[in-house]
Amino acid sequence: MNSSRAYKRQSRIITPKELAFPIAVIGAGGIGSWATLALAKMGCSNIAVYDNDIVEEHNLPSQCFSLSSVGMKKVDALQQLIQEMTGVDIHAYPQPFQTYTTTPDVIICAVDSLEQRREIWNILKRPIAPWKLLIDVRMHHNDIRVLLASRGAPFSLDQYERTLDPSRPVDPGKCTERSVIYNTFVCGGMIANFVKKFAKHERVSLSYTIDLATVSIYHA
Amino acid sequence: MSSRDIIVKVYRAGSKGVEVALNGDRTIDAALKAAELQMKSTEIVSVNGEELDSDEFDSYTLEDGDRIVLVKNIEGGR
Repeated sequence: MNSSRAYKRQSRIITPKELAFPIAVIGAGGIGSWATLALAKMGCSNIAVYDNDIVEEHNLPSQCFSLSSVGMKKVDALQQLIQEMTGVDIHAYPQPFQTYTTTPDVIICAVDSLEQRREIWNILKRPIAPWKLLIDVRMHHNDIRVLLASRGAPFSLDQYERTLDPSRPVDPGKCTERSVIYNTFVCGGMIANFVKKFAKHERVSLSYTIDLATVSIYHA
Repeated sequence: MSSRDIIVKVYRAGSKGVEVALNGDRTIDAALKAAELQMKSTEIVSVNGEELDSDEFDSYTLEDGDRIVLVKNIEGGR
């Protein structure tokens, strides 16, 4: 799908050539699977995805998997689907993100818990870490938070680290009110938008809160 | 509004924001009280997008036009 004709409807918005930088998606669930599809559809061609989970039936309504994906490693199923739908061959890593297998410019953090985010952050904050932009998306039913940190902006790193503070109580919500297709879809689209903004050097805020109940966005 | 009043907008994510005038006490607590909002333990206060810990509330001085948002501290991704 990498022809200029295929992308003519977005050619004045963003082109595949501008999206050739490496991207790592950590987590291939409700957020990460749609984000990967959105990025590949948008024209990103260098995407690595990390996840050691297997596709289960309860993943199907809200995640980017097909009926035949059940029982497969999420990253392998996603690799097949993305290849089929976009022609992009993602780099599939059926493992948690523990070290760099690529040197991504953009990292998308789409894991389940703050504990996992802290573990990832401990890797990302090392001085030698190569990334430029971190996009961390957290979601629970109507509530979505998008947090951004730029390697070149120390203030943003401090701000991001604060959001991982283990002393801050977390709203656990209910496990039956976590993901539904419209919230995971929104997250995927938001991520693609921020990746486009990164590619275009557009200014962004450090945090966005999206409330789907009232369809409101709060940001700095 | 006196020359020393400031107007800040206070939201709880998911509900309509309210504008409140603060005179003298320009703290987060004063703004939340004026907006008749009580912060829950699982919420975070963000002022103009910058998150604050509760132990910083007293030392943070609000300015005219500040936007204070109470957001749920959520962690999910799947």
